[in-house]
Amino acid sequence: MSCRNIKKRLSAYQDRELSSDEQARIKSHLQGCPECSALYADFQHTWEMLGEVPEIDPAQTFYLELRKKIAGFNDRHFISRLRQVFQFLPAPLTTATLVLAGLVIGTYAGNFFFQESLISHQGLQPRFSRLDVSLASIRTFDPIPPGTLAHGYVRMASYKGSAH
Amino acid sequence: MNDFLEETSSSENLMARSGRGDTHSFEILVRRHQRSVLNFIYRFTGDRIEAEDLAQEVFLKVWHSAPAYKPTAKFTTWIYRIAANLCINKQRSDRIRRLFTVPPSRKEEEDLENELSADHATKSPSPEDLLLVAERKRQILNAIQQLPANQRVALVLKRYEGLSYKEIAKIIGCSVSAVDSLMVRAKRNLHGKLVSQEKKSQVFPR
Ligand SMILES: [Zn+2]
Repeated sequence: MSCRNIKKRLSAYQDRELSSDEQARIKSHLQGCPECSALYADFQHTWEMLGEVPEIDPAQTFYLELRKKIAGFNDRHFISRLRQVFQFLPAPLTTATLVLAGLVIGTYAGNFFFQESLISHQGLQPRFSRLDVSLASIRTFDPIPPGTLAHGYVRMASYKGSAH
Repeated sequence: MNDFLEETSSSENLMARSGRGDTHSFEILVRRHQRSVLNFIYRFTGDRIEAEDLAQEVFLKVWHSAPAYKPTAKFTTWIYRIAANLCINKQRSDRIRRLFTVPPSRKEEEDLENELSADHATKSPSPEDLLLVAERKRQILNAIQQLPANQRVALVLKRYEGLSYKEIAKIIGCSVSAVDSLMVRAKRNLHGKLVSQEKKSQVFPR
């Protein structure tokens, strides 16, 4: 083998990546060739210097920190999913949707408890169907119940109005 | 699951169990590979703190891809590939950021100063020797940093992780002969850089 071919393979020779035949052939060439063995010495010197960079130890808390990040990622993921759901709605529409949902849920809950109390007052046999109760509650719905702050305000306003 | 069984099961098995939400298996997997992943990144980036951050990111990725993980390659091949890609992407984004911020040399100087003062703080016998060792280490790391990314991945995996050209080829996604030539170029580049640094600073007597 020529010196040119040897030099091409010196790196692989150093890394023990050649067949055992080739390793042996290059080894014997290096023993008799000062030029190639000088190049090989350079490689070896560089390789040894790289060994001066010591290994570092992972922090004791490495795994714990990782668990925290995983938990944090899940939280952020949930919030970003929520945002994805609402991102197509403009802010006023989002608010209106939420208020409407609140009203519907509130009405249902209110009806439910109202009817339950009717049933318990009038014994086991309910006199009104759920629909009757719902309709009744809507018919008797007073937007400004007496005794509330709003009621007082309305009275004040109407008093002022009549004074003119 | 028996602890002994867990400790001796393959990383591929632990990964499959992690994918089903088994955090105990995941913990064993992390503890088994954290050192090699961390040190691979440390040698690639030359920065200890950055290496910790990126290593965490690697395992975060491992956790999130566990449910869909298919053991088509060795687990170590797969995880080194994640680490290498993260390092290369980070370097790219850093380079872009540096275009708009202070020159990097300042940060490196600070790093060296911090390291030197940290070494002094341990009150070892000869501060001069420690200074020399720390500077040598810094210069070698700097020389590695100046290599092109693929040469650096190949060199670090060979020199410090002891992988074969075949394994490195799978990680980089190239042929074995391509790894061979990456290694030749990496070694020549490094030798050139270290010799020129030697001449400049006279820190490396031969
Ligand atoms: Zn020769």
